Amino acid sequence: MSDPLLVARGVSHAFGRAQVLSDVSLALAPGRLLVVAGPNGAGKTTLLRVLAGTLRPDAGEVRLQGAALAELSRREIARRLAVVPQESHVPFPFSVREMVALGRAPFLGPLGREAPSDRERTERALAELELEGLASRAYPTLSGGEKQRVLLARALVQGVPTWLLDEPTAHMDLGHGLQCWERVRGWIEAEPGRGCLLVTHDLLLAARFADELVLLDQGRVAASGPPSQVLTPERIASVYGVEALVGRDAEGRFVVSPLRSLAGSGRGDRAENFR
Amino acid sequence: MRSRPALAWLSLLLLACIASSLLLGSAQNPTAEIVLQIRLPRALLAAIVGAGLATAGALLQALLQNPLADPYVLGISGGAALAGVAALALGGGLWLGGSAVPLVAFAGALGASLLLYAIAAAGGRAPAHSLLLTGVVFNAFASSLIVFVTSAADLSRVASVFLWLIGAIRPVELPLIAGVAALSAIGLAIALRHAYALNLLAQGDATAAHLGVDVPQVRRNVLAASALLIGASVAVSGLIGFVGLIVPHLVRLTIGSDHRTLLPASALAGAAFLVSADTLARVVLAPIELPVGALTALVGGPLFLVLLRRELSRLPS
Amino acid sequence: MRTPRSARWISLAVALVCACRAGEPVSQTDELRVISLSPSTTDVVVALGGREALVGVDQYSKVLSGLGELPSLGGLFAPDLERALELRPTLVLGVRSESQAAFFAQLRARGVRVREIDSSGSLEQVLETYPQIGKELGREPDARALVARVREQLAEVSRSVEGLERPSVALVVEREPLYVAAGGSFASALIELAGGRNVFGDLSGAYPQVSLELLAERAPDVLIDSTREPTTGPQAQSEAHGYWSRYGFVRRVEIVAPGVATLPGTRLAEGAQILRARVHPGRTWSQAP
Repeated sequence: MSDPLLVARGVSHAFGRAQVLSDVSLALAPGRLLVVAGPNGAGKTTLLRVLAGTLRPDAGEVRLQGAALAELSRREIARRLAVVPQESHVPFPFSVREMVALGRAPFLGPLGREAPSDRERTERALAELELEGLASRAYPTLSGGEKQRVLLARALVQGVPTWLLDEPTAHMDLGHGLQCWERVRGWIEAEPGRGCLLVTHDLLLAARFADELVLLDQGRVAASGPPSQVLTPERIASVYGVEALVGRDAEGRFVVSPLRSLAGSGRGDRAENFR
Repeated sequence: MRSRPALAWLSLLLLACIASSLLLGSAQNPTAEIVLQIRLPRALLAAIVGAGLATAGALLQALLQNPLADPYVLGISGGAALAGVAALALGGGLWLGGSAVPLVAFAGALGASLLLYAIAAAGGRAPAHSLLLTGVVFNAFASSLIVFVTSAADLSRVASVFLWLIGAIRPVELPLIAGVAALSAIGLAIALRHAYALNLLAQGDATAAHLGVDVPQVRRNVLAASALLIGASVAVSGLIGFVGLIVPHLVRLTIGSDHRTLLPASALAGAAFLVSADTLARVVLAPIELPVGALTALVGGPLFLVLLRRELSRLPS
Repeated sequence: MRTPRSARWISLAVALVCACRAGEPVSQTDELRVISLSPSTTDVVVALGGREALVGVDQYSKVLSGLGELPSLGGLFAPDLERALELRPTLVLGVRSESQAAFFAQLRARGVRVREIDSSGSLEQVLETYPQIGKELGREPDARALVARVREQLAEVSRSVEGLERPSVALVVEREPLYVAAGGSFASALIELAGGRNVFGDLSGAYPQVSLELLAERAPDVLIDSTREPTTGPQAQSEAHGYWSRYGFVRRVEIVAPGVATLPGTRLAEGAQILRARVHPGRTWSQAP
């Protein structure tokens, strides 16, 4: 394996008396989609903030392309890492094109003057995410799915090898959610040296798309490795409180199918834990 | 609308407003003396104050991530007003060539910004909600103190205090106008330097940080620029309302949200707006001169409600 | 349980008696007890020999009329009702105003005679207030004599400036916003009597706000700044000149204490004399201002 893009070692953090993360370690290798999954309250958001450099952990360290995160400036981090948030509420009517173009910010001067190459990147990203028709629309007027595409386009324009995605499909329907995962996979595979760490609680799509899965349970890494190794029925039951079937489909793809909740309600198949 | 023609048009508009300000007034046969000694300084001051307030409004709308924020919401103006009113109401003998009140008011503005920042900031960060809450409380506090001070004041001073609070372009000496211009220019320069960063800041603190912005530093600098602009304007003309709220919002709707254009366009539009409003204030009930703040509130109030409804109707249900 | 019950009845009875007494009109006696709530009415009362009858005044009257020992009832806007009732007045003289209206209503409800004197108008209207006050005090002859005396004094001033050239004058009572004395004020009449011509004499109203431009256009020969104390000494002079010198149209600035020319008391002639001295400086008159 070539040098990992992003490495976390022994990361622990507490908010007041609540220990949110305990000794979390992971490594994102180039060409891979690493998914951090876990139920609500497992510490995923906190971990994301630590990995993005916006929260300094009580213990442990993070290295981005070999350099210690704590020693990098915000700008240096932004030149190596793109963060795609869950959603972006922007109360100002920036156009889609303006929003996407902001992705070049870490590489531009203080006045944000763009070179022709920067503008080209923006146009290409708009094309790739099928946003040409919406380029002049005001961002706040878009639908949730369209906004997500804008945020992805912006990450594309940033042109960095590592992406961090925060619950990208949290508010999406199945079709748009699937498209999002497919786009991310497509981006990783388009060129060597790219990697993406994605935080989600959508276990089913994680099982389908992840190269590596890190399962967080109450701040600890319950298991990590390929999804088929991590997602055993016992583990799913203990972490999520759900009885599930795991197996392979006709083409050999790993699939997880929830059966019923084990939390004592006995109400049969309920997929809402995995939305 | 593309940026360069928009700025050019706004500059022309400003010149036209200044020209009509020089031509209109309550004197039947104005002499050159009247135009140059009374109308011109007044138009210049209105332009500078209008530009300052509108720019500060745009800055605060970005800082607070709220397109309907107003330069007075943070309490910087409360500090200036309290200091100014105290000087006016109590300092009967204080009249250092007419500059005492503006100087004291400006000091009040700076003092308020420092206090505001110290209270709202935690470890160098001053997040939007923290600033806003502190500002609101500070304003309420300052308002009550203003009432207190005004009650204790001599009857003869009450008219001046009232005028100051509602905001008016007063006859001010050229050196003071130059001072206000210089301070506003500095504030504007700092703001322009951070114009691109403000585009990023408008996306939210987290996103701005992820795109490489040193958020605490940019907030500090932009807050300082706002304090200069608001302080200089309020110090010399009192609390003229709605300019800082309406002008940048309308400019954003017509020209765009890119702060590299929004800031200079707001400055020009604000200047033109206040010059026109002041001309109207002088002419509509001549020879009585309405304080311009009364007019901006009259026009701005209903306009604000219209804009607010528009914003609310766009929220997801 | 009997003692507490009777105590309750007793206290109820006491409360009832007190409440009845609170609504009682003030006892009527022949003694005249006057409260004056404005410096100009105080002035007239004293001039009519009513000093002994005064039991309370507003704070400005204390200062202006040298009535230091009298109890003060506060400023012009919110006189102290409790203190007023404490003094058991039979007559309260005040100015007609919104802010004092409720106060007067309370007094009237308790049977106190209240008279609102309107002294905001022209010279004739001001002179009219002397017999009005005189009637309340039962001193009509004194009032008529006072009117005659003041008229004579004013006429004397007017005679003394006959034949002199009449400079144009503006009397400024507030700088920002700019308020001046206009035709409807008695100050305007005093200016005329003092040998000047009020440039704003054509405007109706007493003390309207005007634009700086209008003042510039009318370019008075003399600008009388009646906006602040003190009025003597080099500091006052330089301050006024410093303020007005920025305007080229201001030729001569004279200072007069606020109220001298605008306070409608009995010292109208005195006010006219002071104005005369400012309008025609460098002369001596038979009566020093």
